[in-house]
Amino acid sequence: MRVALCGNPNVGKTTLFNQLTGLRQRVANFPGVTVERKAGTLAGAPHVEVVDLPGTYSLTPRSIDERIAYEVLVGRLETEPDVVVCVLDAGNLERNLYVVTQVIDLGLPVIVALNMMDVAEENGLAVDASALEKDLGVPVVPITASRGEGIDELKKCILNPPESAQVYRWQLMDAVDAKIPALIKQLTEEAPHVKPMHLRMEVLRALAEEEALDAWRLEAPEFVNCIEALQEEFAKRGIAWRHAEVSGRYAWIGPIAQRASHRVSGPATLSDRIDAVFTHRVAGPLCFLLILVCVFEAVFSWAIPAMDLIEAGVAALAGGVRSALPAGWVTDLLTDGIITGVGNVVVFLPQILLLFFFLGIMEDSGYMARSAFIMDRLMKRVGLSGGSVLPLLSSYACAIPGIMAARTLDSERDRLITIMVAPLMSCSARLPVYTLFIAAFLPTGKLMGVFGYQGLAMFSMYMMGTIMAFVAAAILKRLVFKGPASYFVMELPPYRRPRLRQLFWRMYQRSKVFAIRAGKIILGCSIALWFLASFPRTDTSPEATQIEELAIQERNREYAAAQALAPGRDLTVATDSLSLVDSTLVYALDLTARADARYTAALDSANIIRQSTQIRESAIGHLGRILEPVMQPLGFDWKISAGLVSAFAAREVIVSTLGIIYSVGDAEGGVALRDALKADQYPDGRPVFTPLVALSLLVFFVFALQCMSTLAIARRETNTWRWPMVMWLYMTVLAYLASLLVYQGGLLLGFS
Amino acid sequence: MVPAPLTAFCDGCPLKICSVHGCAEERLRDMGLREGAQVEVIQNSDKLIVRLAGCRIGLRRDVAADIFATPAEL
Repeated sequence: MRVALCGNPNVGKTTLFNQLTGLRQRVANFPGVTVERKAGTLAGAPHVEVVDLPGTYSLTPRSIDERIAYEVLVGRLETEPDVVVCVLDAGNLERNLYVVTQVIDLGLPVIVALNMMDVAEENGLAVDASALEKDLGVPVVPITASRGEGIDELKKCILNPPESAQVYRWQLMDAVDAKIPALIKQLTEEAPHVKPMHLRMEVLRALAEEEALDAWRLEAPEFVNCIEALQEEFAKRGIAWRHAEVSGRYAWIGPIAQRASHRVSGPATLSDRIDAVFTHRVAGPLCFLLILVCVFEAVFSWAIPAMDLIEAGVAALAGGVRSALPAGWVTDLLTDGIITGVGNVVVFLPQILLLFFFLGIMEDSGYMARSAFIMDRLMKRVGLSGGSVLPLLSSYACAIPGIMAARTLDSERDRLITIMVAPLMSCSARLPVYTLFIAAFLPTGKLMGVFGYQGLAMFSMYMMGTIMAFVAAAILKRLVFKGPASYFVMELPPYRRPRLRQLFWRMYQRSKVFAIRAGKIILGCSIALWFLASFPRTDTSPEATQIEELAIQERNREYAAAQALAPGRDLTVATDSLSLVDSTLVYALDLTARADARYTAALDSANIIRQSTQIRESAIGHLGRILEPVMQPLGFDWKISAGLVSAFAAREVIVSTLGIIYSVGDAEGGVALRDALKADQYPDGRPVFTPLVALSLLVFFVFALQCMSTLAIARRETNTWRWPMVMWLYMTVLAYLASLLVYQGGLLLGFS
Repeated sequence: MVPAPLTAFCDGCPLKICSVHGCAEERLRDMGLREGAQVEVIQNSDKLIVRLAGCRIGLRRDVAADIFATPAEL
């Protein structure tokens, strides 16, 4: 048996779904977040499957969500549900009932779940469920899904579903109604597979919506002709055929809704008072900006203790493993490859958790919808609407949910543009890269004693991506997707206190996804990279050997010179055990001590040369050096180029790549990557990483599309490889040019 | 009284919608902003917030300008 949950966006369908299935999932206080098909079994009745449909205002397909909901209900995507639970917001019966009348017309057994009774009450509305039940002729169960009230009654009702009776309770305007039977007959002839109970709905949809009509053009051309002829006829007679269905349904719903709900007290709720500030034309955007700055500041500074802890833990683990196992390449692989590689990315989990936490609070509290509303004016300027704000803000966490959230946009063009620019929003995978370089190359001070430079730098990385996303959207709108301006209408849900349990659950789930990615991709990459960096083995380095030989000769010569100063004396004794009277001996001993120091230093530098020879001659070194000429104008040496190659599939991999490149052969192990980067030098002694190089690299990461998953999801959502390819190309070119500009411009201005 | 666009009414004004036009009209009707609906303008600034039954709907100014209404008789 199958139960489908259906209803307007933001009526608590997902919360109810979680209550019914006992499976906690994503809940958001924002219209249209439910886009994926979610299914589970009814708690206590494993034979009943519950499917959560996307939130829709009607079954007339104006967005993908609505088409999907309709197709599930008529059994076109999968076998049709046995019972439909229509979830209603008790606070807004009239509009919510619209889709209910459409579902009833499909001839499916319907149960109405009257949700948010508590919110309605707070808003001064009293809703009479039994009056509604009598008028609608289907069972009505009052519930408060967020507190689990009424769920048992609803379950009972689902297990004993009502009979389905296809009765058209509302009246279509006579002129249109008279034509319906002929159209139904025509459609039956041409498309006999349409179930009898769906015929009337199909006719109404084809009559009212261009898209639905077009769908029949091939299969039932005569039917389409009839409809088009009829539309012309109606137009001549001045009959508002396009609104016939809407007005007919509302004429029936209006009085029902009025009988069932009574306004008890006056308006001006808490939400209105909060909105007076948050959506104010001046204060609103300021609040929004302030909230964003605070979030990024918190993400950056609060995570530091936890990150230090993880870093220390990883180093201790690597050290422990190294001392417990015999020396050899397997141990090297385990410590330098796997533990260091995965550890370098896991270290960023605290920041990602915090980012998810704040985004979650914004979604659940209802602020996300306001941010869309506030930002609409700005979005309009670049040709988008406030509806794109949620997809773009979600892309701060990850472009994948962001691209999927774009489904809720009415305009196909807005949706495509949003998808195309979403990957420019800095996602959590860029965070590790930003953190590493910002922490390594920027001062730790504070601006005006409040905002740390590093937090501000982080914020500006995000701003850079965001501004570029807007610019790209404006350009795309002007050059590629021309057409009329989009419109913006959005429901503003009441403010709610975020429920911490759900919030933490979601943080846990999202981080799990990240950790599994770190586990799979990064573990695999770490191992592969370690091999690439360690093989082919180069044990000989003529340069290093030469330095060593010279050092030995030098030391011997200096020892001989010292011995000549103090003939016959033992120069191995410690200086302080001698009487200071014997000045020649002291002088000779001083000479040998200095010779020893020089010798050790020479050996160290030989060792470093040997290590870097190993990496340079390894497979990844070759790859990096092939790319080096192309990347040199951006200030990148072959190591960074090699890192960029490895980051093609997933950005965060570059951190572990650099970690591996810099720690391979490092005898002490746990030298922090940050310090290793700062210490690295070109053979002529110039540092590899200057602040300018770091900035150039950061800019590259802000703009480049280095994420296979994003390309795959864009392919799925646009149904063609064309857009993902265009996306990858323009972002790569953009990244290269921006880095070029930063580095060369910086050099011209005299920075290094 | 002659219907006027929603943008012409001040905050806190109870209204009755007379007609809905423009590119968003279908979406507006779906959301319940249709002929005969009782609404109240909560905020009228660079954008509009109207209350419809128990919910708030945010409208861009140009969209609101396509919705015509008269003050509702109380």
